[in-house]
Amino acid sequence: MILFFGIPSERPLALAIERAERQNVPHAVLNQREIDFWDLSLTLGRTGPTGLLWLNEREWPLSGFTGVYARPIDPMTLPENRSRRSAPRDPHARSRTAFVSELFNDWLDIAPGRIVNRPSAMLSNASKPFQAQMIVGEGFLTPPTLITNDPQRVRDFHGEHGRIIYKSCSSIRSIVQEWNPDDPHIDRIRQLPTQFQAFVPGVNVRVHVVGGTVIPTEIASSATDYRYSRRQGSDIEMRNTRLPADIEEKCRRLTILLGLTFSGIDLKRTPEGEWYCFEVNPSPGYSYFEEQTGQEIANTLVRHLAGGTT
Amino acid sequence: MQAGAAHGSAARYLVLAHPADQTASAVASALRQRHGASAVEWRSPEELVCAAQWDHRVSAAGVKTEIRMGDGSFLAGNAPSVVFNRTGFVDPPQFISAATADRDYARMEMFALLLSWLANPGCPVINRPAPNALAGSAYRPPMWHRLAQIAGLTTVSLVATSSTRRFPVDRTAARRADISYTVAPDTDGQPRPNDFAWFSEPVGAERASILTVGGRVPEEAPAALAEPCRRLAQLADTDILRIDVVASADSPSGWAFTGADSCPEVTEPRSILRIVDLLETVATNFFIAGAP
Repeated sequence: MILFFGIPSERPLALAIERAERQNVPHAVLNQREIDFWDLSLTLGRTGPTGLLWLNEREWPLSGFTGVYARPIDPMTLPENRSRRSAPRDPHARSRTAFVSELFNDWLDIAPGRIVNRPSAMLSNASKPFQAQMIVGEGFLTPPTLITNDPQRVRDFHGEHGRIIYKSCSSIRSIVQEWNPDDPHIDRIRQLPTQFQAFVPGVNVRVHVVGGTVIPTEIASSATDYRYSRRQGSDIEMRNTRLPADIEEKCRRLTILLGLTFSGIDLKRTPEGEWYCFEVNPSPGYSYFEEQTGQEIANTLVRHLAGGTT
Repeated sequence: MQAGAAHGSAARYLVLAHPADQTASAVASALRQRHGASAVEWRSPEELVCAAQWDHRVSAAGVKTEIRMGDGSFLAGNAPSVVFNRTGFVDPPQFISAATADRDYARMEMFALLLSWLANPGCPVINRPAPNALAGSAYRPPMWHRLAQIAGLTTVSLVATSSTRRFPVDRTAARRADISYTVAPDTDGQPRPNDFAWFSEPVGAERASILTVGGRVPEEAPAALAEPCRRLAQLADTDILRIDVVASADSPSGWAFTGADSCPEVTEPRSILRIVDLLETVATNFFIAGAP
């Protein structure tokens, strides 16, 4: 039995649920927005975790869920937890939401079975330069990176590499932008060290690793950040591709090293044939790629969650 | 920071801790007595966050960092031999009065930078940082319990319920407000008819703590706990770990695990000296080797 958790209309989750229905895989959907109406108990006894979930007017033993795909959002950002006009959310209900969310995450971290992904394993993404050190450890190239609060060091770094970009170094999403030496605001970095990277020319390849399966997608776009191609006035085209065997194996190993079973790895193949790895996303929005290419990422994910070999 | 040739004539100890940290204070004091004041540099996380110059580089060639402090000096002369790391929560002072979103962004960015730097500052770090806490692995209690079981420790049973009406707990169970970040708002001190909380089995009053330091447990620790405690510290990837146990008739060792802390408050002089000895050994080995 697979448990899907999150906002069921959110595309990656919706696609996986749809595929489970098509494959006739037994599953249950835990809608995060209905958190007021489900209950959870967790017992940490001498032999391991057990528990019960009250969902859809029935009791489900947690041990019955042998695969879980979780894509929750911050519970405090749920519409149900926001103030309505002048009426604030009942503090008890807010606290209960936080408690249940924390408890569910606790269970995900220690539950046996196929958990995509365990919350504690997703934390390496909280620091991109930290994760980059693990990426390098697996034998990938990673772009020369500088985090500094000194404008002169940025100018020197630009002089050294010709083209450089800047982006957040935490898990907070930012749009990757090319840095221009004429930038009049560069002194602002004195307030907070900022991450700059050498621009790596080449073709973007997004790799989804699901269990043992590697699904690469080539992205043709002239935008600095292909996720925002259209906003940056550029077209985007995605297609199925193949990876060299050693790169494919590195992607598998990197996913395992980070404690993940489903990852979205951002690679770039340079004109010289070198492969750079930028980051590993532990909660990939894979549907964007599947819907453009027809690749069977969701089907593979569901097979993995159902206990099959992928 | 570069090891080896960049080193001076003696090992240098870098202590990263809040100024009010009594454990760090005792350790720094002992190190100064043994090695002289100039061998020990204490910096708070806030000083680091406000450093005049950060230059942290990561590439396929490795990691290299230079941190210049407000007084113009390089942090630990750019060549510490060991870092005693008790870096807690970091809130960049320059963003204290900023909008919430900007302040949160600054906190997360600084956490990301400090984690990356502490993961590889060019010398050993005790405790090594983890993505869940800068001062070393800090798990939620359920995860600590699971790791303790894997390590071979008997654990005190815990139960959590989101509804004491739907999933009632044993009436003898003790409420544990310390386990969750969230507790139900108080209602005039009266128990709610339907509550959410963590509970544990009733435990006795006899408690003990075992401080593992560099893979060693103190000689006076119960013998049956020594190996499981060492294993737990290893599983948590921590050099310093306090493991809390309570007397239990149901446990083969006579003790049951209740919790662990990788950044413990240590006051007992012998325990302080065990930490100092570990730092000295690690620093000396690193200094003699001259390279990471």
